Amino acid sequence: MVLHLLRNRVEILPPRLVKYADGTQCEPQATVISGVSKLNFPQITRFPAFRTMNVIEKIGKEQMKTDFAPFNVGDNVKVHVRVVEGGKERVQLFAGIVIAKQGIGISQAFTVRKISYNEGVERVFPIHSPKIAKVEVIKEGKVRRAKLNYLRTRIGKAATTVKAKTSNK
Amino acid sequence: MSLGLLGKKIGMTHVYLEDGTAQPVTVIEVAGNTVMQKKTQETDGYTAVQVGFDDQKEQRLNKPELGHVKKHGATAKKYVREFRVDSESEFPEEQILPITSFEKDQVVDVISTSKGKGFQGVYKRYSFGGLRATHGSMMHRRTGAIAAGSTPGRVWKNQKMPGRHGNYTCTEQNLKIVQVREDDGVILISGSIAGSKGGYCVIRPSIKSAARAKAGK
Repeated sequence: MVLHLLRNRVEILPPRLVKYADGTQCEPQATVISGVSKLNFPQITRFPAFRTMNVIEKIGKEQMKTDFAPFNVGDNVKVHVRVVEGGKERVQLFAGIVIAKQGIGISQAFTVRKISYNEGVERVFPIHSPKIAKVEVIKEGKVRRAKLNYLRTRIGKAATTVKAKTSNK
Repeated sequence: MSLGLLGKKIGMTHVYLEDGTAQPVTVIEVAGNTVMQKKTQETDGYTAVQVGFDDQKEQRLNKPELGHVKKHGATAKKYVREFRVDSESEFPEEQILPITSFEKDQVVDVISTSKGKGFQGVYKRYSFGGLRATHGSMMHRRTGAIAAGSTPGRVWKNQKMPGRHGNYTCTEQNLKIVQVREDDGVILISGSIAGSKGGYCVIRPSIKSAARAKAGK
């Protein structure tokens, strides 16, 4: 019986209101299609309130950072890494371009690439690791793909820069 | 003194420790370990506690199993195992063994059944190196020679050959308990254990660390 309850544990969150263009609001309506919750608006098909959460997701969620500033692939960032040396803690910086983001939940990670003394250096950081103190976005980039592996074959200035993000308005 | 618990592998994830390192863990469901029978010296010739885990429908048991369950006033369980104890004084008082019988940082052994691999060659089954890939070699992943000629004139026993692989009972020793989550009915154990998700396992206090503690005294 206990096992049954665990398996079907549903996380109950207050439903987020859906805002329409004319200013009206309503609660999202869910219709279950072949076991997967699908909502009446196409943008968000996996609404958290309608998904069952298992123990593994719960364990991950507890450790996830909630106050993490978002950044995107192509952004120029400074990653603040906590380093313990000789019993003392200090912050080390790693600055470069985010060339990839991978994983879901607690295992989300991102790859930062920089050119150090004419040698390309890449480092993968888990987003939710306590060792990552902060990710500072220096410049937002405008890129058209999720993985910027093409930067690896480039040399010179082309390897360290992507187009800056410009506002459409 | 913790007796041991039966459990079900749910899956793996990782948790961050206090110093910030990521620790891979296996999540094992252990809620509802029920004492089914207490075996005593007079009736059984040895002392042990029989524990059941995971509810089963009574109709799915055969008559001898059902009779055993009824005789001891227990409920039907899918997975039943015994834990030996030294004397009757060590019998647990509770009917349902608490998850908290294991503590954080305790060292345990986990016994489970590995995934079945079917009929496999010696490459996979015994990690043979194989033979030449090129230079006209027409034997690549085969066993090679299996015995000498006129002496002994036969193949030795236990010669490693292809066959059924996997589905073995595996004991993973000296794993550390990272977390005991009473509310969720799960415990997190460092590293991996053999077998698929949903597979059953026995968690017992580590025999090696127990022996070490004994020798230390």
